[in-house]
Amino acid sequence: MIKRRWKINGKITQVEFSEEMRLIDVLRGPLDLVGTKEGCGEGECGACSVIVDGTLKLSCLILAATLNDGTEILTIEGVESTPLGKRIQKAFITANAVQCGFCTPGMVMATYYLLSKVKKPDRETIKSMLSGNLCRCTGYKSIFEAVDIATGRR
Amino acid sequence: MYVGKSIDRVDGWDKVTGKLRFIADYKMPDMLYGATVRAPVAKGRLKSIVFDPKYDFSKVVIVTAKDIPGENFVHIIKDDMPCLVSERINYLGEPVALIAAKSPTQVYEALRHIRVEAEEEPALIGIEEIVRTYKREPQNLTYFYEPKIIKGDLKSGFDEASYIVESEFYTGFQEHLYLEPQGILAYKKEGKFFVVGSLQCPYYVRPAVAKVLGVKDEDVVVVQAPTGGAFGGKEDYPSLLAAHAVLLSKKANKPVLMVYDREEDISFTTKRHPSYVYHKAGVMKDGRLVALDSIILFDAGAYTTLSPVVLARGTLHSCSVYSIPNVRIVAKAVRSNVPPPGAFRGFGAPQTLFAMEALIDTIAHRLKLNPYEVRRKNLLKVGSEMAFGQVLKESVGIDRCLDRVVAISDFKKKYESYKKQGKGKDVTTLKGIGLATVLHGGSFTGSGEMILKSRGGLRLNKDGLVEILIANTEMGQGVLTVMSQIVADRLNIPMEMVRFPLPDTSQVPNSGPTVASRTTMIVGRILTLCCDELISTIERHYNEKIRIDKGNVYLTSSKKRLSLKDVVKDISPERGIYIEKEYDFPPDQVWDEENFKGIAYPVYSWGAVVVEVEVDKFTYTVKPTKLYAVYEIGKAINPKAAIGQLEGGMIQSLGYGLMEKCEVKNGRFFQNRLQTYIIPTAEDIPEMQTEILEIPYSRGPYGAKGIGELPHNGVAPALRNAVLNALGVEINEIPITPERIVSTMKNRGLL
Repeated sequence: MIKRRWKINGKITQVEFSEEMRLIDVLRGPLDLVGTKEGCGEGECGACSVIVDGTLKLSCLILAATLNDGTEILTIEGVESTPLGKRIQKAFITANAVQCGFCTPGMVMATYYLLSKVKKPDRETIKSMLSGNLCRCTGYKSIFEAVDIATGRR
Repeated sequence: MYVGKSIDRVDGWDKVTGKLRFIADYKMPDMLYGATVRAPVAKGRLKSIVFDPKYDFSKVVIVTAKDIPGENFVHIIKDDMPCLVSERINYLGEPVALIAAKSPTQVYEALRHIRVEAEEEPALIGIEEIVRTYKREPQNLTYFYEPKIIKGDLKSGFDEASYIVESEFYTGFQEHLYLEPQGILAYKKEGKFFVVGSLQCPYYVRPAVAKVLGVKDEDVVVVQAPTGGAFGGKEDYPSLLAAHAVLLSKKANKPVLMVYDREEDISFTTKRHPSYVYHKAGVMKDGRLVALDSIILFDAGAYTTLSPVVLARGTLHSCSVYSIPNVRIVAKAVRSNVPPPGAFRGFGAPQTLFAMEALIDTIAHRLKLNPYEVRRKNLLKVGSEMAFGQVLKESVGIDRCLDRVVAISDFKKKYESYKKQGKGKDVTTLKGIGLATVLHGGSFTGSGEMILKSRGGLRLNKDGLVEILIANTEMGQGVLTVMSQIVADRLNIPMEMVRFPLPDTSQVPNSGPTVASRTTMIVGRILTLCCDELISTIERHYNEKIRIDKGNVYLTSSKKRLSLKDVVKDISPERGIYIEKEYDFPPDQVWDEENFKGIAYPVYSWGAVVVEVEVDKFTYTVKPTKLYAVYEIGKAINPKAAIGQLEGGMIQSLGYGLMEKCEVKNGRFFQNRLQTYIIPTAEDIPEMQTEILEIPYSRGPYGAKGIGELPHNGVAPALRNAVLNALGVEINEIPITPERIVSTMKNRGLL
């Protein structure tokens, strides 16, 4: 078993896991943070997106053991308590950017990352920054509108 | 008050915060994880299941066909699909045995130590092979279903025609690619078998599981878990998966969770039926269609499953929105050795509508007419007789959809100008614009709803809240919100006073499956009937007229004000007031299944779509740049939810037409992962302009008609027609990949 101390959603957390586990397995397993979803297991769908040390990452492609003590991880469970996160979440509802809700946690994480880097992204930037997150329900337009609403553009 | 307003979805906050638990998020004490042992050949005889003697199987629960206490088939339409193979294998990957262990790691480890031996036989695989065989020796194929439509006199129609236009069309498999893979949790509680899962139709799963277990339907309780997309993919398949999970759970005497990974989900669950359509049309000089002779073949896979009803809908939609006087359509669902295709948004219509809408533009192209004019000359209207004898009585909005979409897209001018654009060496990009007009029949085909006799319920509870009790499932489309709006509006109470729990077969009546664009239209109507009955129940009790406002009940004669809580206390303090109503099937909706004639659907929804594309002249990549759409849906109960359905469906149709290639080779899907099966991303979508028109349907709740499937019908053919406009080349097979364009052009000597 491997032991690590990570800062997860702002809290120092001791975690133990076996060496073959991916970050998504540790989040969804021992940490019971099941808001992060597994849609493909090979880094294509983006449903497992989380922010690791300030960068958007796919938790299904990270071997958990490669993350050292002190790593900072933000998951969907931690987003609601941030002003930006809450603004994004409200905007997703207003724009009807949510249907089945399975891609939504990952999509919210990707949007959170986008808006923490670019204050008022144009449509091309939004498209490119969210292109790693698949949604099968909405057709994406409402998601772009949600991003606009979250930035105060609409 | 609520109907017609863009209310925020009621399950929104749980979804954006990640709090909503999907089936893979469920945990139970002692829960085991299940997996499937699968057949190694596409057709043959099972010889043995070999368990590696060096591996310790003592901690693994194993189920084979011998462990099935009831009947070894999964009840869908016919009982021909085994739950587990006992002898005959009919597709590669067919379930042969099931195993369960304490962790996913353990169960996959055990799976690697099991080998299935089989005698392989020649298999029939792929629509091309089906068509080849059909043309040479049709008697050698097995047909699950063979509907036929005859109208007028074909010979005189062709004699009258100025031109004959012939063409063949092919469409491929399409994977639903709901983001949440299939999953079921099974356990036993208080003597009953519980099935919780990602599914569309609780009352399909219940009898299927009961038959496999050999128990009464009531001994099985099916509860829907929040469902992460379905699109038809969780209509029929969960019956099989639930039977598997229950068998493992019964043998282990522990809860068992079965969740497919993406590769397993794409490889072995249902898909859209591949199709072949041959059309021969008799056309007048002005573009009027006077005769149509068609053959439709669907690759129906290894077992009957839903193929007969999918083909029925496909056949009934194959003339699209046109009135044609002389028609013969011969359609067949052909048995083959691929995993059975199943329900997928559109249910057979996207295939046949692709062919017909492509044919119209082929006619326009060959006869040098404008595709808008050809469509306008043939449109159905109130009073038109469809090929199968139905006379349209009301709510026909196709003319308005077509005219509007052509106006907002400037179609006529752009079509003519792109046709004349220079194609010389210095040109790098060719522009094209394409049109398609479509329809979709709301609710079950023919007598389906009459046989179904759907029942829905409402309960006014002790706490004064109104509970919606129906078996219809939220899978993203917004049923929780839309039904709550209808009930709140009809009772004139705040939406906060309406509750809609996820369906549980021990709690809700059978209001039918959540399929066929029927939920709002049919079950929404049942709920309005329940609301009206609740009001009259209260009136009968107090023996006077009532008025409900903001959750208060006003007795109009005695001028008293009561809360809904008071009313329950007065009428039925213990159990609350329960109302249940059956769908009042329209008596004039008569369907003759034997002759495939009559009123196929009580009403149709309509749509017209224009797609603009840019084709790269060197790579032949097709980039959709603009998408205009106008849909007539009777009434949008929640406009933003309706737009969400339309936009999402159109982008699925865009993927279907452009990129979602899924080939089958030796019985195996070649594109069986998300790295290879490509769906549209945020970067692939064009600018979209979607409008809704409303011509109320007299029997729809507030005039509403079906909407869910309609948008999947139009974009693929509009894309194909845009490519024809850009390149002058008829591509008759989707998806239209660059490789397909190049090979088509090479075959015609254009490259």
